[in-house]
Amino acid sequence: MVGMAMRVAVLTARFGAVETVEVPETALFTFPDGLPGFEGYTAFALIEDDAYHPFGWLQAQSDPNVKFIVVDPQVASAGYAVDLPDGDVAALALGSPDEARLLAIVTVPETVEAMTANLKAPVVLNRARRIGRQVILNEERYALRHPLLQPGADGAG
Amino acid sequence: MLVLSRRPGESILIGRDIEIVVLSADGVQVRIGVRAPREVPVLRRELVQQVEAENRLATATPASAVLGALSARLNAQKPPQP
Repeated sequence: MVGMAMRVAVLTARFGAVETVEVPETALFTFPDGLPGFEGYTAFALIEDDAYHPFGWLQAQSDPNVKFIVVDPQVASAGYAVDLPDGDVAALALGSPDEARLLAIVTVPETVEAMTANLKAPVVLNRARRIGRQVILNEERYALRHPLLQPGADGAG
Repeated sequence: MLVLSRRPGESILIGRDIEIVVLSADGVQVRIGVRAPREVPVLRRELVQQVEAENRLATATPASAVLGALSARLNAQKPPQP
């Protein structure tokens, strides 16, 4: 049918056990250089599930256990705005900044409320070409571990 | 690894487009200048290592089942300060 995106099955262990999730074809991205520490993983699916908004998962297609919780950096820090280095813009084949979608990888420690977002090295997606890359920023403003939950956020603030 | 000795003011060329200049050295710290094309990333090594380590931690994160409760809390809290 015209306009129907093909859906693709992806194996994910996001909740521990391996399950199959379907994503639209437009949620599949090629990461030519993988991610720092995960250079061999070049195909990822972006799993976005309304039930877990604003969180999603960047799931490696070749290994259900290689998955990263991601969040819109604006959720972590309103007004998040960065200059992408030229080399990364070229590697992503970005024609203009609005072709890019940014995501921050989330780390959840033992104390779940202490979860943080990596604003220093955002994942950048070229939506049209479906290419992705993690960009390490050289600037001081944003932290590798930016707390997502504000202290006293349970109504007291 | 190629090992060279340089004095402050001297430099090294890598390929035709990259120059490493030793600006000053005080015995503990060396100030290094890098001239490279804009598209070549230049990063402190430990920063790259920190990102790698953080990614490994991030993928080892405990079962995401807690996200349901956290997403509700995040959606309910005041907008974060920049």
